[in-house]
Amino acid sequence: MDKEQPNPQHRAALIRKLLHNEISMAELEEMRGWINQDDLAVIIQKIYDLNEVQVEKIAALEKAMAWIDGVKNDQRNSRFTKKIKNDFRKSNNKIILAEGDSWFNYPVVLSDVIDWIAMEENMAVYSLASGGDWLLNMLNARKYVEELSVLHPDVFLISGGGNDLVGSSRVAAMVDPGGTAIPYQKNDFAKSLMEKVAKSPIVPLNKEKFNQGVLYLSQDFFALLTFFHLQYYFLINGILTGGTNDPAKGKFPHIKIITQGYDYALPSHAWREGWNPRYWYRPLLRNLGHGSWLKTPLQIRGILDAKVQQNIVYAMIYLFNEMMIKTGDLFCQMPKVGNRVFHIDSRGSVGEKGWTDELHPLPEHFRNTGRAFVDCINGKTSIHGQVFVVNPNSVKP
Amino acid sequence: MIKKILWVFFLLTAAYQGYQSYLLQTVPPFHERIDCLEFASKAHGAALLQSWQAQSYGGQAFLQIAVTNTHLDFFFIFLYTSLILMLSYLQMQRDPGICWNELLRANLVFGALAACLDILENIFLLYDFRHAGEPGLYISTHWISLLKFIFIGWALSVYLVSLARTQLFNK
Repeated sequence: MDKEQPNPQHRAALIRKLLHNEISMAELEEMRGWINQDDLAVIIQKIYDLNEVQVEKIAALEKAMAWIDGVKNDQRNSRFTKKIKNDFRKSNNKIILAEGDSWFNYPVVLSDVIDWIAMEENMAVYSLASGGDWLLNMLNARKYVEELSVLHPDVFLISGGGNDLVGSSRVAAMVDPGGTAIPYQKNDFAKSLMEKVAKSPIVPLNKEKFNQGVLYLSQDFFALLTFFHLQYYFLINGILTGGTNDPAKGKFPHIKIITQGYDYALPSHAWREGWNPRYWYRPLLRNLGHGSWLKTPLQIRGILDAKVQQNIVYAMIYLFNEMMIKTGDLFCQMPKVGNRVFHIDSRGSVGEKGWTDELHPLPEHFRNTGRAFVDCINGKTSIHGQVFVVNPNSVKP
Repeated sequence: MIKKILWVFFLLTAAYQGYQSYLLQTVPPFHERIDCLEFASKAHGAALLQSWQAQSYGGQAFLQIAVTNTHLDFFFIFLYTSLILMLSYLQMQRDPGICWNELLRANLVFGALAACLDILENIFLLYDFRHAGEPGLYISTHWISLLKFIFIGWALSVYLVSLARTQLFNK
C-alpha cells in the first residue's frame, strides 16, 4: 500500500494540532502514513520558532568538532575495511552501520558505545556518527541512506535526539516553570505511553520523580516528543519498507535496527565528583559544555531546585525511551516485518556517580550499554522482547 | 598514514641523534653520551661540558654538536609524544579490559607530562651549554630526566602489555 496523500489544508491542520499539543492518537496514526521530509522540516521550524536556514545553522556541527569526529570515523572505518578485506562476510560475522551522536562518537578521550562494540571480533562497524549531531541533521543529510545501499549491513544502529533536545540551550524552551502539568494531560500520545508503563513497566518507574518532573514539561517538549516519534518512524519506515509502509517493498529484508535512549542525565555545574585519579579526565572534559546543556537552561527559566531539575530530566528521558519502544513496537506488529526493531534501554544504568559530564557516562558505563548492543546483535533473547535493558553490573575488569 | 609518517621521522631523527651522541662518546676522558649528561650530577655534568667545549670536531667544538642535538630533540619530543598518544589511543579501541582501557587513557596524561618534562630538561641543558665555562651556574637535570623516563617507561609498558594481551585474546 502506497502512502495516501491528504489535501494540503488537512495536512497543515494536523501539523498545527501536533504543534499545539492537541493531536489525537488516531490523527497521529494517520500522520505516520504520509509524513515526509518536508513536513518534518516545517514542524521543527515551528517548534524552534526559527526559519529553515536558522534551524540548519543551530543544528550544524562546529567545524573543529566535525573535523575531530571525522578523524575518529576515518580511523574506525579503516579498521572496518581491514576486516572486510579478510573475507569477513564469508562466515556468520556482522556488518554494522552506525549513525548517531556523542554516545556513538565521543572524540578521543572516552571509549564510547561504538568503540566497545567494534572490539568484538565478529563485528565490523562502519561509523557515520558525530558527537554533537542532531537527529534532524542525520535525517536531512541522509548519509546513512547512501551507506545502507553500499554496505547492505546486517544491523543498523542509531542514536539521536539528545542534541535536538539539549543543543543551543533548547531545554529552556522545553520547560514551563509554572509547573501546571497541563501540556502532559493534553498529550494523548505521552499519556498512552505511560498507560502502557502502568500495565507492564520495562524499567521501574519512580512515580514521585516522574510526577514532579512532568509537571514542568512544556507544550514544546511534547511537540518535540511526538516529532521524534515521527522522525524515527520516518527513518525506520524508510529502511524497512522504502517509505511505502509495505514491507515487501523494502530493500533490506533482513536488516536489524537497534535504537537507544540515553540514561537519566544529571543537571550539574560541578567540575568534579570526588578526587578519584582514575577519572583524571573528568574535570578536563567538564570544561566542554558541561552545565550548559541542562543546568544553565533550567536556571534561565527560574527552575533552581536541584531535585526538581533532576526530576524534569528524569521525566524527559523516561518518556523519550518509552516513545522509542513504542515506535519500534509499531514495526514489529507490521505484517511481514517481524521482530527487527530493537531498543537498548540504559535507564538507571549509569547512576549518580557514573557521569563524565552532564550528558556522557564514564567509559565503563558506555561499555555496559555496548554489551547490551552486542547481545542484541548476536541474537540473544531478552526477557523484555524487543527491549534489552542495560545491566549496570556487567563491567568486569 | 599519519602514524607511518610519524614513524619514519621518528626513526630518522633517532638515528641522527644517535650518531651525534656517538660522536660525543668519542670525547676523552669521559667517553659518555648525551643521555649521561641528562642524569649527571652537578659536578660531573659541568666537567663533561668542559670536556666537550675543550675539544673540537670538524672545525667546531663538540659542545656545538650537543647544542644541535638538543635543538633537534624538541622535534623528537613532538614525534615520540605524538606516537605515544596515538598508539595508546588506538590500543584503547582494541583492549576490551576496562582497567587496561583506563590505563591506556592515562597514557595520554603520562605522554603529555613526559613531553613537558623533556622540554624543561632541554631548556636547562641549553642554559648549561651557554654557561659551559662556569661550573657554578650548572643546573643538573637528573630528577627531571628520571621522572621523564619513568613516565615514558610506564606508558610504554602499559602499551606493550596491553598489545600482548589483545594479541593473545584474539587468538
